[in-house]
Amino acid sequence: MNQMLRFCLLIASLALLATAPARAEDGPKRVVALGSEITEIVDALGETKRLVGRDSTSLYPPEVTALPDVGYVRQLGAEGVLSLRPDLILASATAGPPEVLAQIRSAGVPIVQLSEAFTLDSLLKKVADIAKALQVEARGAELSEKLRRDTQEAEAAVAKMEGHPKVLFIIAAAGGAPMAAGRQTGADAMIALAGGENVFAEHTGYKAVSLEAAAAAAPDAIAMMAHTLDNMGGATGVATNPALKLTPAAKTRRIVAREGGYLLAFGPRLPQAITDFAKAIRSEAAQ
Amino acid sequence: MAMELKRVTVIAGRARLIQDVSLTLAPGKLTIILGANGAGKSTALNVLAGDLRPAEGEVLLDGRPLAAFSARELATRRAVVLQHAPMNFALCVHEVVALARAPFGSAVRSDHAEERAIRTMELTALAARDYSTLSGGERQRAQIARALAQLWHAGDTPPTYLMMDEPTAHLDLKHQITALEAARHFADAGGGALCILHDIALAREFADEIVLMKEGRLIASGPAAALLTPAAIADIYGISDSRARRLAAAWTEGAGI
Amino acid sequence: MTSAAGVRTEPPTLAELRAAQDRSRRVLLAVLLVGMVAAAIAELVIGPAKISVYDALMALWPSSEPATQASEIVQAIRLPRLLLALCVGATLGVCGAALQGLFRNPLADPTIIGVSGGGVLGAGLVIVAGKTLAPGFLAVAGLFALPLGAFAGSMIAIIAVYGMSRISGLASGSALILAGIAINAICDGALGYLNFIAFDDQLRELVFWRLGSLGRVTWTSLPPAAVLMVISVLLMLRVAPSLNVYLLGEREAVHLGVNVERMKRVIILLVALGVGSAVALTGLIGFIGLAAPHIIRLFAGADHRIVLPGSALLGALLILCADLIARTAVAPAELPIGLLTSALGGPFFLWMLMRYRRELF
Repeated sequence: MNQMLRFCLLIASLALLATAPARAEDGPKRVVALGSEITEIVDALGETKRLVGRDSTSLYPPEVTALPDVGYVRQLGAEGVLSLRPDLILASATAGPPEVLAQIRSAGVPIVQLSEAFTLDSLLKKVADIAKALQVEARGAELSEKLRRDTQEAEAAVAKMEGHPKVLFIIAAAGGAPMAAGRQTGADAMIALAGGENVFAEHTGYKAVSLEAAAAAAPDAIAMMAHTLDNMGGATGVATNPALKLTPAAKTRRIVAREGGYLLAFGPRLPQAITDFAKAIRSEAAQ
Repeated sequence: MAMELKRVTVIAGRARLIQDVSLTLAPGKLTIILGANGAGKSTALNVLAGDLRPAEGEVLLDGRPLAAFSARELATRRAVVLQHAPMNFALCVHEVVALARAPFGSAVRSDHAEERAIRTMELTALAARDYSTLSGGERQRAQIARALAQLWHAGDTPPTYLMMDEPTAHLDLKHQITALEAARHFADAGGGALCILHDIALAREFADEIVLMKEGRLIASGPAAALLTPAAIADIYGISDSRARRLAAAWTEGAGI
Repeated sequence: MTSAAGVRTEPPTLAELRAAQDRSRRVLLAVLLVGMVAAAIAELVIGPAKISVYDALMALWPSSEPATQASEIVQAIRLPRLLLALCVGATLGVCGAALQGLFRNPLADPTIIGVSGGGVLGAGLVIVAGKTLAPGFLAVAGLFALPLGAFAGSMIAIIAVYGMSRISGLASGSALILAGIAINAICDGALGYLNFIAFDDQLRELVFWRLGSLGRVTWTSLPPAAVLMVISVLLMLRVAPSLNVYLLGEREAVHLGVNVERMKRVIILLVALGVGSAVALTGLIGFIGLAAPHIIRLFAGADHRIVLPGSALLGALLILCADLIARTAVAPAELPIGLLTSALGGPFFLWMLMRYRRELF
């Protein structure tokens, strides 16, 4: 029986293949996604099957981790990407170095590089651009509509929440001093969307920070990426850190850790992230 | 035709290394400088070699100031053997000797001079050895061979000058004599040779001219027999008269055998 | 005459010694050349993208046929990368050898004594400060701006190291290494400050320079730096006879007619030019300048007339091998080549430290 079934499937797929030339105008078949939010958008559009490669930050949904990894999104190698024989590259604004993108273009592979800003509009524009590049505009419009609706709902829910907690957002510099998120960062935008206040807002970008100075701002919550929390010895490590232990956040153990691709990349999980983060900085108490 | 120091004074900081020294290095002669440590022997040699500029006085080669010669011109007229310095890189002995070609470039067509220098300094068996594996004395001989080859490449006219600072320092007696014989032959062939020595017996044996230095000044110069009196030796080395006399007697006896 | 046992009774003549030496040197250079050409072909033929040997080599010839992706990969990516690897390898090898001659110290290496670090800082300054402080310079210098910035940085670093090692004692190995540590620390600190004030896009550029890679080269950026590197290597080869004499010692070199001050200036200038240009295109690639000359000396002795060209060939060969690993080990991703050379070069440096501890410290 089983054999029979397989045989039927084979015939069916051969039939599909035979009709493939007629579907050529349906857009690129071999796509490499560079940037976690790009991969997520492709997935949200239901087009994961077109992906033949991803960058090392693209870890969601878990299925994509089976795809070949072309390396860190900012340190790409042209030939590695080309070796996947892509017919389209979807690249986030952070993808680079620019010379490598130029090399890929000069090998005749089109690159759609998407603009980046930490807003809903930017996300919707990315969705529209990717949908267009994949020639699934209709599904793109659907997704955009859903994202807009969900985000507005999330923002409305946040507006009803109490208080404007002061948040310190730390990201780990490899082996070095911790860095805090200032203005013009995904973290800053997320704090604002969640109705919080960034204690480090007088600076721009991610800057090395003295924890003491950050602590002096008395944050109500300390947020970070999941792996940063591990580096700092977990919630206990943060709460007992000499510089941080006197902050309200440490006393109430309001320490929030999430995956960077989820919280900071402004991908299609933005509505969930807003609601989740807004709740967490108001109530979450890690053990 | 000679190399000359004329009333030369060299000052380093506040110290006067040599003062009012006049000295002629004549072709055809082997001149040997004797003196205690710090007497200014090496300084005098360095000034003659062109390494040090005097504060006062003149250094002349064939009547022209030394400073008027380029480094390359000087290298075709005089060769210098300094007290040995370590070398971290492995050239072999024949390569070290071949560095003597440097001032002449492609003008050197044969390695006859180098071959002869290696033979003279009895380095034939060591020619392929790595210089950095040699003993101090073997290195010294390689340096002397290099200097000889340099001057032999230059030829006999105009006369050339060989200057050696304690060339016998690391050598056994046999090779001390080899080195000084080389200087002797060099002078006999028409060159001017200058050596700084600490061995009065050897100086007496080989020198045409002795220069005695003490505390930066030239005390006396002239033929060995006239100059190397027990009193002079006692004076320049600051040893007792009686000891100087006993030593002088031993040397003279030795020389007489 | 040789006896039946094959033992010569008299030592070989100078002419025989020289002939044997020349022969073995020619063999060494030929082996290196063949190795380098083989590695160069491998660089063109092997890569994450599967391209047949035939297609890869045919892509080099101009053809009227429409370009395929294979030919585009070879022409736009592998070929400039190969040329860069050859230039950078030869430059680092030759500059390492020349620095070791200049300092009379086998441990001198552009990365260890801070010359590369100075270049990285110079390039970093061009990126971060150049746009705001000296836009005129960027406009005039164009593609040369980065190599020139790196050149200036390397130049200052090498002069500083030279000065410090001079003051603290004659040709002492430890003085040189300590001076290098100091220069590297200063450059690193300054670069850290640049990191702090840099905007995000500039920061990305700075990160790249700390971990060398050959992957960024394009046909636009290659020629200016390549010309400077080729000039540096070719002119440096002419310094070989003077460097040989300089091995004897500074005063000895003067006695042999070498214009030592001029030689030093030439070497410092050419090293800064070569290393600066290399750093501007690739970032930090360590230890090639240490390993290549040392290996050549092991086989052929210290004569710079063989050490300099040998180090050029071996440097290029080593970089090509490292790049082959960098490109294929984690394909389709790519390792920074600087990471590889440091991983291999670090232990090599330690081994040399042990080997020379008596002579140098």
